[in-house]
Amino acid sequence: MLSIRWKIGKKGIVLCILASAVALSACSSGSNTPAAGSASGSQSAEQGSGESSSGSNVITVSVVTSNRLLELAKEKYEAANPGVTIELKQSYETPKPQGGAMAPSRPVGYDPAAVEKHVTTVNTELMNGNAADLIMVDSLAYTKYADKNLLVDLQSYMTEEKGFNDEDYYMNIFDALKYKDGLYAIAPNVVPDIWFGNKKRIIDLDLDPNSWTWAQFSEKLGELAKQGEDPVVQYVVPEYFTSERVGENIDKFMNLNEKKASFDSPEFIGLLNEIKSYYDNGILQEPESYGTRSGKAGESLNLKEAFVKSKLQRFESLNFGKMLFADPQVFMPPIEDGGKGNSFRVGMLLAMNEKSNNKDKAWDFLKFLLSEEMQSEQDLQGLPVNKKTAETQIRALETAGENKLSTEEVAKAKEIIPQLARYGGIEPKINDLVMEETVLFFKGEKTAEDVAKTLQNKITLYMEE
Amino acid sequence: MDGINFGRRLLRVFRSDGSYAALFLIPSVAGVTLFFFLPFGIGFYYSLVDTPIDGKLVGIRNYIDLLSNNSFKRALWNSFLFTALCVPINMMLSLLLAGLLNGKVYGQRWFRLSFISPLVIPVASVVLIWQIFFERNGTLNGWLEAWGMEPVDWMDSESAMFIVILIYIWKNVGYNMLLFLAGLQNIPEHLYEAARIDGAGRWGQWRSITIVYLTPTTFFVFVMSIINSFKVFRETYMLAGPYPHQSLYMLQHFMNNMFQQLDYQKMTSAAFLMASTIVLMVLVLFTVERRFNRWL
Repeated sequence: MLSIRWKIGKKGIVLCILASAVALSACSSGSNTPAAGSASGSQSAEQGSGESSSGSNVITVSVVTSNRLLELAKEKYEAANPGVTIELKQSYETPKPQGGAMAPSRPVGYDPAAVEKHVTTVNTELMNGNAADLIMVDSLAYTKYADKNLLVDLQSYMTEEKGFNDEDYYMNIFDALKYKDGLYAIAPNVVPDIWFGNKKRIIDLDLDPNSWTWAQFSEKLGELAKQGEDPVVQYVVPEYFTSERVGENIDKFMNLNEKKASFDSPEFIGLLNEIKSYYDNGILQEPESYGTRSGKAGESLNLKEAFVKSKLQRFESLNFGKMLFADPQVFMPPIEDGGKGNSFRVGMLLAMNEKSNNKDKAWDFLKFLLSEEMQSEQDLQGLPVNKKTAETQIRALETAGENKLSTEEVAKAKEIIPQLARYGGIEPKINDLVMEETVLFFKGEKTAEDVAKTLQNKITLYMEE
Repeated sequence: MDGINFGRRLLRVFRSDGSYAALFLIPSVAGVTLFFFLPFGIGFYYSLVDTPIDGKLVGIRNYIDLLSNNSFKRALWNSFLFTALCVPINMMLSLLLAGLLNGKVYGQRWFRLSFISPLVIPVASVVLIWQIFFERNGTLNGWLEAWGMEPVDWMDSESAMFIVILIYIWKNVGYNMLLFLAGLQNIPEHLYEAARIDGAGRWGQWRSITIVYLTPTTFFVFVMSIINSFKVFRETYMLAGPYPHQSLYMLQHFMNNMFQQLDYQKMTSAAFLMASTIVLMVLVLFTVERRFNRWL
């Protein structure tokens, strides 16, 4: 009896040891994997700390997907600074377009899958302490990161000692990007809205192209809509229109510093009803077909709309109106009654990792992105924030032959950036909530009051978290 | 002589059941330590520092911040309310079902099976059905409109909590019923016989025998129901996303969102608070149960 038991025991022990060995090896390999991963991820950091105390010669930039501007900057910066490497860490690789067709470009922002990947990648990297030196944050809730002291207040670098001269830049852009008096992200490129008017249709409306309000938009264009069949303003879906209007006046609805939302205010309900009235009155009409209208280069499309709204990425695009209408006129976007200045979006936002041990070099690269050399690139994807570059570009367009701007357009080019007052980008989460909820109002499923209440509750939850 | 004795004793220790048990436990203990206790300990450490990477110890400041956070307070209240509402409902309903299915009922086997089936159906597939049913343009509103009533946005009004209670009950009533059935079948038949001979009615039998003998089971069911009530987050999240109607915003929503937003301090301190509350509650319940069993 005892001997049998002993046998089982032996077997048992062997099995047991085997099992625990397997378990342990599984565990150890399991715990090794992230370490290995992080080692390869932070190779750059380690290399650097081995070489010198002032940081590594590899500057890492964590991006959603790479873009032409950053790749160009990498090329030029590496050429100008031998021994320094810029590493662009993509969170997401855009799938290769198939069959030679162009990948459909997204009109608004990034692919949601890419953003999600970027969020998780950056989050885990920040938590591991091996995040990139610079992080692309335009699709992240970066103010919440700033609250957690994960990002550097860049104002400490924007001093003369660090080679930054306020006079050289449109500081109103950087001021508008501030959060709680700190500047946690900067943009190398700024994208304001611009409206192209069709003179033939708006000549009698008596609108001031330099300053006109949404009230005038509603009244005058409403009258125009009553007159005829032709569309007045190029169609966008109402929830997107709303999200842009909310972005333009985000301060009215959200106080980030005090973590207070006021989406249940009469202003917001009024805004919703106002936007609905544009659609009800026919100012914005869904076209019967979305056929693409193409024309020969240099030839006008002769659109029938009274206004076409556009995002201005280059000064020379100010004469883009010629492509749309026979007799175009450039308009600043409408503003609120008593409002001042327009809002803008940016091509990209870059922030610096507080835990980076390579901050000075990372700043040098950021500064390079703001330098005249990079700012005058064709691929900037926005207007420059560097004053000298902007002035040079505008001067060139005053005289250039082919893309020459009219006097009127030159005047617009000169004044458009300095008057920008607000950053119109909303946090992605808030934007999603606004679009999701307001669409129910425009479909007629919910009243404006209900939508406002729901939004207020959800956004308050989000902000107070 | 002594050496031989010592060797024998050592051998006896090695051959005893305890040492075998310990050996066989090593793998699971190692696993639990590595994947449960260790992360939990690290989480607790995170809840005491100001930032996760080279943070400074700040004591209980994170907990104080947490308790003054409005979203957390709302989540805490909602979770409490949900548990307080659904646990009693669930227990009463499952006891009733167990009572009905304990005797000889036509189709008893199939009834039992159908009540247990929610346990084995993958949640994701069922949530889809619930969604279609309660959607703004869903089935339920279709019926309401057909009867000439106003449609209601079920998931986005005060009724949302009741929908989740319904889902919780649908999901858990079978499991609890099973536990109660086992408890019922453990009650010796002769007790009932004796009671009948003494002239006790059905109500008397139920009150003095069934309820008393079911108490240990009831304790267990109670604890399991509370724990399961915290798990309803999965269904809620799938139904309504990370920011549901404010009456559905539970502790796990808070923690999940904190994780997304990288706020490890708030997340870990909330998790630790929640875990300690549950453990404390379970410990108290088990002590009460032990006392009760001794009394029995």
